Amino acid sequence: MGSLTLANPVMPASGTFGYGEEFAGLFDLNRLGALVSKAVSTLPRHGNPPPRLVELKSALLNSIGLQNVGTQGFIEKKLPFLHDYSPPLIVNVVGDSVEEYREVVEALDPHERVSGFEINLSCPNVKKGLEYGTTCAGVERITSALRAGTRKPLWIKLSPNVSNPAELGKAAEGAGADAIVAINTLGGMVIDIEKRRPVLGARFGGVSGPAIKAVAMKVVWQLHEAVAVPIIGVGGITRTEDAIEFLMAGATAVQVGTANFVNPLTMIEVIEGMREWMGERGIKKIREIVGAAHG
Amino acid sequence: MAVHQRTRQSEAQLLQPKVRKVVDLARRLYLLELEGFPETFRPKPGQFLHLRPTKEDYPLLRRPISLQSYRDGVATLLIREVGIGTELLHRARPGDCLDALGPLGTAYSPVRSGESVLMVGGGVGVAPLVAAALEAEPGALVDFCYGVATAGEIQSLDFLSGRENEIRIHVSTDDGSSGHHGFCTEVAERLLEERRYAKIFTCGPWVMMRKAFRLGSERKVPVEASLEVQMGCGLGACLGCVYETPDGDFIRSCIDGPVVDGYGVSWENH
Ligand SMILES: Cc1cc2nc3c(=O)[nH]c(=O)nc-3n(C[C@H](O)[C@H](O)[C@H](O)COP(=O)(O)OP(=O)(O)OC[C@H]3O[C@@H](n4cnc5c(N)ncnc54)[C@H](O)[C@@H]3O)c2cc1C
Ligand SMILES: Cc1cc2nc3c(=O)[nH]c(=O)nc-3n(C[C@H](O)[C@H](O)[C@H](O)COP(=O)(O)O)c2cc1C
Ligand code: FES
Repeated sequence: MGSLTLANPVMPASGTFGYGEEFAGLFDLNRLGALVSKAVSTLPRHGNPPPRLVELKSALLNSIGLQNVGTQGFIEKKLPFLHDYSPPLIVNVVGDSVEEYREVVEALDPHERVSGFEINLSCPNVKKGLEYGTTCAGVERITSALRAGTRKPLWIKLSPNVSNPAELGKAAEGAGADAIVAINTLGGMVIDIEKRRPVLGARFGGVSGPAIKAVAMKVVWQLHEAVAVPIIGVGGITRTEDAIEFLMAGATAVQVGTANFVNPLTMIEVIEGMREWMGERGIKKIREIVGAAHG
Repeated sequence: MAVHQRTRQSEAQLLQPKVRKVVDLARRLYLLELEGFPETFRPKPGQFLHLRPTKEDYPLLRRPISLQSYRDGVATLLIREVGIGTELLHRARPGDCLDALGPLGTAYSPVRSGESVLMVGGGVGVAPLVAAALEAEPGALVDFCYGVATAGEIQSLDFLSGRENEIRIHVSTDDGSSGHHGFCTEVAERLLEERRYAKIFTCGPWVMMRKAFRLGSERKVPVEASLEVQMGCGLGACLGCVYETPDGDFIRSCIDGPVVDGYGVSWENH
């Protein structure tokens, strides 16, 4: 992962694991490959009005709207707890402008516990963030601005709500990104036919969970053909086989999101399951299967 | 019985209780009895279990269900079948192992000796109130307004009587087939005119709880309400289950609720 070495390739997807505390009693967080925080913006954000969740068939629609404690709140209230754990800590960053992203990165950069940044260009719940994530010029602009603000690993997280994710990945790589994370949620909505209104308070949300795995797989596959930097695959992983599929499509590591809500031990089971799966087949290094399906 | 570590944040554990019995009360209304909990499982009244209805990907999320009682190692849940998740749970058979996360959430405050407490529950909303009444200290008085659609839906609450406190059940039915013909909040209003209560506990449909809250606030009686909000993780991580306070803050109902101070809820915004 650029200058980062992970003990294993499994980590939580941003926003599905809080700041780690919430799961700390259910398993040892030190067993994870990395910790990834909920989005952090400069100032605290309230997020979107409820309802914020709708369950779909094998999927989830959410419109949390990036509710978070803000940079200062993160430093004061969340970082101390994370000092007790050893996996690299990646902070997911959001902003309404290039300046806001940069402010967050620069404020957190001096903190030793922060190992790197994951730039959320893609949350479909906020209006302005999307622009950076949809054009090559936008991705380049924000990536180079942030590259100038930190020497720590910089991961760019892509939206699937674009026609050319691989080209955006390439743009990010060209501007100095250390890894590409794909994908964020797919834009969606649900209407209550009795009330004749959208169910979500924010009308639109993002679809995640098992139903989006095939979409994410294709993006990872295309990225593998387009970029040389590591790819982190995310979308619909619930079991070992899903993670291996992502590796074979070209991912070097994976993130688990919605599945954490269903089975909080998913990541641990995937870590153990991968070890076993590889052992049974005499595979020693993850490298041996990364991109294996490309032939 | 696999039990994992306890959380720092809450006492939530991943549990694998066994189904002891499924008792049908009425059409699509049943009691689910679970056993095989560890020593460390000590739920408080108002807390809930987050149950996974299937190991498959559909239905995906866990279902939050209140604990109606936990006595002698047996947990009883009162469940209305409204969709696929509660239907799958209904199909559980004795001996089946369930995947449960809990106990989760906040609890009703203790009912102290010498206190009079008014409980107002509708439908399956009576479940956490039964838990609160069961824990009432000796010498307490509980007026329990139990509202259902029709007589067939009433479960026997005999286990609440014969204790060293006084628990009086006041049934009301929408169709008049038993007890008061009308809403349980009408019974509550009458009781409030006769007696001064230390607090009101309520759980049930939003409109019913809002009425119970108004009755309490008009008389400056503290009100504790249990909110029903769509949940994701149940652990406080996803921020999906928030409700709005009168100050415009969004509070997580899985961790800071489901039992909340009624004065901290925007009852009109729903
Ligand atoms: C803290 C808490 C305690 C609860 N206690 C009980 C109880 O003791 N007995 C009981 O019968 N029911 C209880 N409920 C409601 C119960 O969780 C829902 O009826 C159940 O989740 C419906 O799932 P389903 O698959 O059958 O219905 P579906 O309609 O198929 O569910 C679709 C989605 O909506 C959610 N959902 C549907 N209805 C509700 C609801 N009323 N509240 C929250 N989420 C809902 C489901 O969880 C699911 O994600 C409680 C809810 C909460 C939040
Ligand atoms: C409730 C929820 C909150 C999320 N919050 C964020 C976030 O703050 N930042 C971000 O980059 N992605 C966020 N995501 C997207 C996930 O990190 C992930 O990209 C997406 O859910 C797909 O993975 P999954 O199918 O495994 O859930 C969120 C997803 C969910 C379901
Ligand atoms: S259900 Fe996830 S925060 Fe409450």
